[in-house]
Amino acid sequence: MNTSTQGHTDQMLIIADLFNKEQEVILKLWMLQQMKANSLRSDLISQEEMQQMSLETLQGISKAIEAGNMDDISAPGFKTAKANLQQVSERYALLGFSPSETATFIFSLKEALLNLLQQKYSDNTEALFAGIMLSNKLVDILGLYTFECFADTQKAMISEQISAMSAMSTPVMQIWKDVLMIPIVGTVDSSRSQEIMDAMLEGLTHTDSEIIILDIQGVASIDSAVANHLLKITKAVTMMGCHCIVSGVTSHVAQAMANLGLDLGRVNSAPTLRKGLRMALATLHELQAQGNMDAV
Amino acid sequence: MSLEHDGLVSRIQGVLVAAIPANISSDGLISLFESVLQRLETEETLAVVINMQQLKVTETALMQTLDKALRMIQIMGVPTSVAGMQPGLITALVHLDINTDNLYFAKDVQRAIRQMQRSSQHHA
Repeated sequence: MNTSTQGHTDQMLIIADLFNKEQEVILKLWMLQQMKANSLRSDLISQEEMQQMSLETLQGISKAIEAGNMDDISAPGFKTAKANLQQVSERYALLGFSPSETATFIFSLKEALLNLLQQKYSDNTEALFAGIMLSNKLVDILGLYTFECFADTQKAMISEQISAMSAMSTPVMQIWKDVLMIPIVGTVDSSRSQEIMDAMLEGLTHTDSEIIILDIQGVASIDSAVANHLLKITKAVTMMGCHCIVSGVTSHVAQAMANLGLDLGRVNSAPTLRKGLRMALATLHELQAQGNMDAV
Repeated sequence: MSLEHDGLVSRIQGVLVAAIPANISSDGLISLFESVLQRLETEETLAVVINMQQLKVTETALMQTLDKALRMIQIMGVPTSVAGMQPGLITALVHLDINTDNLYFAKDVQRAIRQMQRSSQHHA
């Protein structure tokens, strides 16, 4: 065994001994550190729950140390510790803790271990130094892992929220037999217009409806890009053999479009949803007269 | 309703109906439209209905061929209705920004035929 390996083993023995014999003390000191941290959020988590999570995390770390590997977090010995930290990160993310508040959970263990090492090895500077070195390294590795898990959870939450918002932003409703309506609120960019188009085509296919009213009263502003997107959407509906009526074309929108030199081409438009619905009913009667559908 | 089948192209009440198979290739599409164009040259035809109910392929090359083929029929001055297009196909065509100004669209072939007959009466 070379000097470096021997030194590392000695450091490990110091930390292993600490986790083996002093787990209760470590937990107590760690809890104290967490309680006095500025980032403590007693409004989000109870002391009991925090203590339980801290205990389970300590048990997981002890298992990793027992397995004899403190450097490589991908080693099998770290499985329990990683699972515990992942649970903590997910819980903190879901409860609304900030990244720094979550990081404090694991990094406050560093202070607790330092206090204990100072108490135990006050008369052995070499052991104290070795213990501090390794405990710092261990907590840093675990801290980075915790932060990664926290970021992953937040990413997943954001992704879920985006898909929920997307579903809410394109609600296709059947407002009459063979008539669907989709109110558009906010801004219309190319990805939103694709979502609207998909929702409209899917709605028309599923319900076998004849007409869809695209209500743009809630659209923040109309510029050439938005008008182009709207035209593409209405073109898609026409290509399906259905009819599209754009309602909610306010005077403000009409003025803006005229000033920009834009028009809605051959698209049927109406200033209000009420008028749009009237147009839809008239179209249904026309289709019925042509023998293209049953009685309205 | 009188029917005269010629493979994928049939004649219904003076309207030439071309059915595009589900997995047609660009070459197959060109060949099908060549057959339609030849019949337009020799037969008195009210209008053309392209039945796309079965078409699932949305490859850009095929869509471009389709666009070109539809324009050829329009150049021959025959009203054309496209029937039964599926959402995926529509999205692909919209993104290609094909010119649909002189085309008619219908949900199915029956409606497309009625639409073409009404259109011819209107223009007569």
